[in-house]
Amino acid sequence: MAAAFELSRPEHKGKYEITIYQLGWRLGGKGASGRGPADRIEEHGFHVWFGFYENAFRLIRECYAELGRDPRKCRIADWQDAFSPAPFIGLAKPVAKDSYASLISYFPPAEGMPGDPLTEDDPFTVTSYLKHAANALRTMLLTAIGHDTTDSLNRERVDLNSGEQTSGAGLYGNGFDRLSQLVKLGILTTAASLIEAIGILQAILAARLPSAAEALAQFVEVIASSARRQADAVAASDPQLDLLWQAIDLCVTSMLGIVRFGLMSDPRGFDAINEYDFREWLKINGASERALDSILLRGAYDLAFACENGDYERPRHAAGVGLRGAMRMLFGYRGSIVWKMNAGMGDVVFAPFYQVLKRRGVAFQFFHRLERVRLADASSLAPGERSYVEALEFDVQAQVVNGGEYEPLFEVDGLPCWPSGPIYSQIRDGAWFEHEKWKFESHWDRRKVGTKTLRVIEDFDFVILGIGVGAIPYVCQDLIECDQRWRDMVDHVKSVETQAFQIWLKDDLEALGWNHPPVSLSGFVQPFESFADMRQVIGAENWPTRPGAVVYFCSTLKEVGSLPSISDLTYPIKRRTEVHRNAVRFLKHEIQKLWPGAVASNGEFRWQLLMDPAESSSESLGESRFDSQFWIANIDPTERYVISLPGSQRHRISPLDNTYDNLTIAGDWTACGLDTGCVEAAIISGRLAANAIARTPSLESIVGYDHP
Amino acid sequence: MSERERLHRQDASRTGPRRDFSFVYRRPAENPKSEEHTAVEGEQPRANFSSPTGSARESVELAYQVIQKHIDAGRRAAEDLGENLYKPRSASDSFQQVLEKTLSFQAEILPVWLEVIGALSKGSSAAGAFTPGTAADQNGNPTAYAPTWTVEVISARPLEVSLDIRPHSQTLALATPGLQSIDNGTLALTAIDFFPQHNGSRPKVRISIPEGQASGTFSGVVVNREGGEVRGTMSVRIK
Repeated sequence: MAAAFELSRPEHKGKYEITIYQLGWRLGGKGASGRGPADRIEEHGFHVWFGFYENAFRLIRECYAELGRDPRKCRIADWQDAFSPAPFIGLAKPVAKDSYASLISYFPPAEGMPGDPLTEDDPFTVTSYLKHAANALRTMLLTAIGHDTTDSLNRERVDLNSGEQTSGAGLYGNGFDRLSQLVKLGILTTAASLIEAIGILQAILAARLPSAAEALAQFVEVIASSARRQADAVAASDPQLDLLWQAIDLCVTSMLGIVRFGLMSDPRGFDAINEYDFREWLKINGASERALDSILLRGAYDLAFACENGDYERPRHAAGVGLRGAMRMLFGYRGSIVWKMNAGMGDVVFAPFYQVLKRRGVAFQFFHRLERVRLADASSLAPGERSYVEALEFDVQAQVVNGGEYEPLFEVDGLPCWPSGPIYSQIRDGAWFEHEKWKFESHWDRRKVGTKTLRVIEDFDFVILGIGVGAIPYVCQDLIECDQRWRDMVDHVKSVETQAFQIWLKDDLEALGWNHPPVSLSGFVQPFESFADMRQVIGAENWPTRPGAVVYFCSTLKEVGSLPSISDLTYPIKRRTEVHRNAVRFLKHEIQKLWPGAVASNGEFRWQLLMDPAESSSESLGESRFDSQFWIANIDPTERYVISLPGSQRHRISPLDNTYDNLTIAGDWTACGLDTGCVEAAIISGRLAANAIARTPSLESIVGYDHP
Repeated sequence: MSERERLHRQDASRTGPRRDFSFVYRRPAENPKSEEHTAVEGEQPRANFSSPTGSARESVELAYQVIQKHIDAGRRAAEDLGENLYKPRSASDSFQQVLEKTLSFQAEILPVWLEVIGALSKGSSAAGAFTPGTAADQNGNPTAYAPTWTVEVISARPLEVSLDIRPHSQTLALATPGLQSIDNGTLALTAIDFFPQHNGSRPKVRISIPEGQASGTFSGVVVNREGGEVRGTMSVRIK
């Protein structure tokens, strides 16, 4: 979509005639969403946009501006209607057996908005990093003393009289004790700031004077160890400062590692340490065991679904990718550290893109399943001619009535949205398809009504292959057979299955004992260690009775062995059943650790809290009431989430690669600079793919592409 | 079958990002603005700083900004202590100890910090980074005879120090009668001590900023104690 958006810009004056071929009825892949009963939003998981998603925000802002929706007719007319700042990030910390405390951090707003033109507030400058680092440290300070951070940041003063506590954990008391804490924390933060400033100074100078790096590294180590001693002494006398100390430990260790490994002057940047696992690399650089086992690091891994084969016993994340992600996330954001969408991702992202692209003349062909990217026969190539894509073979899943064009959107209170299934009335023999329950997005449902082959020159000149990495082995056999690099990519750039469920509750979360602002939280128990309070989307749905809360949960889904064959038609059913079972068990046994009010006096989850969109036909008050909620096993190859295993980055292929001179690739699984699974990586990759064809946007204008 | 020939893509000028760390620190003005800008494979990253003395100076300033933020936060906390419910007995011994430890920590670390800057400046002088007291030729390159001065500061506040000492002064017993501000009534800076080069050590100047010292720029001459002749000038800007 990003590539199409770039190539269809008016500046190109219609030079590129673009057609997008799409599996099933909707755009978005694993980011797609649909509207189900009660127009409820049904996602593949919970999606947030981080405040450093400069390219993603730039494009979506341009998209909304070009769309020019009338705010009187559509509640999401502008990008700021579509996204809400979400400054709270939480971690669940085990405090005793079967007991958790939630630690909620408020990240103060940073200057500017993501996607703004880069100015003096360019997030990728030392000034900005230091400013953000100071903010982050101050945030830790305020959070640790149990202060109402929102209020304090507005007032820019620390109110020492406040008696509020953090997350119900009661970390600190009032009055004098708190003041003492503040001062002690001041020592820590001052030390950390100095170390950070020193580290950056080393980086600047060492980048120009590599010969001085060793002496500088020694100096940094002296300062760091001195600060560690001081901080250790404070933390040892006050165990409640442990988390803060762990954060500083990780920060110090990262700075040390950057100097020790010479990353400032290494032309590979942070990629130079991608052979290491992030945790392993921190350990090499002296991080304490406490910090390595901390929920901070575990939360970071959770965030990236960073475990091999979806197994949380095997956490693995490339060190360079992790370090780059942390720096950009913490020190590179503008506006808010996190932005939540005010409706489904399909509604606020893919529908506007679809509408703008349509307006620009881009054609869409829904219900097309790509089966094969066919290379030209090597024997047909002229001397010196590069290999190229000769044809694209599709299965056609459905025909549109009267040969027209499928119109995929429908309106919910004036907002164009994607449905959770096809609009059968537009499909030839639609009632029959509905009755037969064709699963158009399922890898295992191979039914079709025809085939189509597109041929080079006749039907296309260039191909942008934008499918998920999991589908590559199925559609790119020609490339894999003849190209070692493609074989290596398939072998090493791994992806995982994920699982998610959403619940709609009659009561609000406060009534269940969860007295926190809307938060995205990681580090909770398996099998759903992450969840997001999505209360901001309630108004976008159409319930007869307004829900009190909407909460999304997600995690990886542990794989059970080798990938199932296409002929194993029971696999999707088994996995979906497994997610259902996981979700029910989670609600029955785990959620009470955070929401004590969600269980009755007998310890049972209060199933009647769940809102059933077909309330009048539902009589169940027991466990089966969960069947009215939404859950999904993201097991289709196009839905799998790409992970960044140590050593895998060098096997990624860039969209700029020109081995096949009419083929480029796009997706967060490509060598796009960020090299981690996220919206921003996908957008960068799409922009690179556009550059590969049109030379615009320039590589220098792709924000953060040249980041170390 | 069309007679049209197949279209080809041109090779990209590069197929990967430039990971050179220095690109993080480029200023917007140094960013390529033109969409037409095309990078060249192997092209060296452009310098990030406009002058050879820019890197260290900028770094010191940035570091001070961070330090200042935390000192400010501590000061606000202290103000709250005075404004809020805390009674005199609240300032107990234990709190006093913690407070003193904090102040002591800052007092210790700041001179160390400046020491580091001096050391780094020495180490990087060949590349033209900031070296206090270094004479320079027309191109801004340090001249061969320029000694390296260590500037030690004891201050809870950020400073900018400019030291211009004539060549061959490093072994002399230097002194300053005081640095004056152009604002009448502002106390002069007098706690400035010079330590000559001795047995291969570097000459050093120590500047102590008393608590309550007003902000501003203070300037004065540096003289030889023995003859009284002017050997240079010095200015300190307190932020």
